[in-house]
Amino acid sequence: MSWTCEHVEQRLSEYLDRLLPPTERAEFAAHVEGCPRCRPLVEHLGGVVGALHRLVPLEPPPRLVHRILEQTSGAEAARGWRRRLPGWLLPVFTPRLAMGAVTAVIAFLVTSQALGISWSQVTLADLHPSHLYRAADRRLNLFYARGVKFVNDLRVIQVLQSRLQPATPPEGSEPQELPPANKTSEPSDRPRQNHADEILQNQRLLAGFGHALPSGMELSLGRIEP
Amino acid sequence: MRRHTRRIYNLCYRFTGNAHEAEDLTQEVFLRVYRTLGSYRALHGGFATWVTSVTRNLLIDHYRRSRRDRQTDSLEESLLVIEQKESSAPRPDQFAARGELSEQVQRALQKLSPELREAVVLRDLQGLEYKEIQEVLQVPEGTVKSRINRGRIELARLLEQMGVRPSSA
Ligand SMILES: [Zn+2]
Repeated sequence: MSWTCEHVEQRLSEYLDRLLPPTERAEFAAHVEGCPRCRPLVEHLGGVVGALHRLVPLEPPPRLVHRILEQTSGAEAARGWRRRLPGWLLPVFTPRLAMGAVTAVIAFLVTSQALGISWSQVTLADLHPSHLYRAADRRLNLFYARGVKFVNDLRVIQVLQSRLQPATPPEGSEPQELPPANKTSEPSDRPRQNHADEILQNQRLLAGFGHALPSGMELSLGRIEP
Repeated sequence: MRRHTRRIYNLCYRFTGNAHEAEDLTQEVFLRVYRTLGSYRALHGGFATWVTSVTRNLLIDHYRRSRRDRQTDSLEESLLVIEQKESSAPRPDQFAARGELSEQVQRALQKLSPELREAVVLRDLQGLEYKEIQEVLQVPEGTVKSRINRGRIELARLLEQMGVRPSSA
């Protein structure tokens, strides 16, 4: 097969990255060798790609590493999380939607416990394990029960609210921020089999919120003691 | 940690062309990674690929957001943004010997469409394999190949217009 200039241009990067099989590579080279149009193109592109590969990476400012460490260790999360929210998220934190976020946190805590992900172990690991474990377990069970009830209560509130104001979505909010009303009424239509079912419902109900939570809220919730 | 920070910072910087935005975005990436660690599954690619995907999604969000902002801004405000962008570019001494070229490349990159730009940055500045880029962008192999290729050709064309012809050695 003899290559056209269009073929060469299409496969240029594969040639430079040495991804062409030997026969195609030879055909490519044969065309370029005798083509006054392709040859300078291949040379120039080779030079550009080589230059890109030789660019020295920039050093991030040292304060950035500090900020990240602070942030992910939770030291700064406790104070002023709202100030550090990205601008587009701020209108989301109207009281009503903030409640949705609270529900999401609870759903997360409930789920993580039900699935055996023990976030409590992190804090307990350094203390007296066997002694504290039983207490923590009991506390989690209570917290779990409360969480489920709270979620259910909020669901009722949301259904009521969406019935009261059906055609006026809050300003500045995007569609995925509000759970659809039909989903919220679903649980009452069929019997609940177990906790896992319910957790799934909660998760679906709150989908879209879980990844955008300020960590400060998790912290403050973590301090609720039964 | 520092290695990841540098990699993500460079990815953000090369995509946005703005040191200040790159810093904020890098911080946002790590916050999101920290919060969504639970959703990480070591099925597709490694941890680094996953972090790159998180970064990429944030960059695209950021791009869409700032494009929307630009559209609603008045002309003066847009000009002001451009001025600020230029003044907050990294100090010349950060570029060392290849400084001039680095800046020219950055300016040319900024003119690429985001699809082509991210493909070139991931391939040639982050050194990812085609397969890894496929996982980050969630597009078929053929699309990755064609975006890398078109991105490079477009970049080469832009650099040539600027009178930049790097030698291949
Ligand atoms: Zn030709």
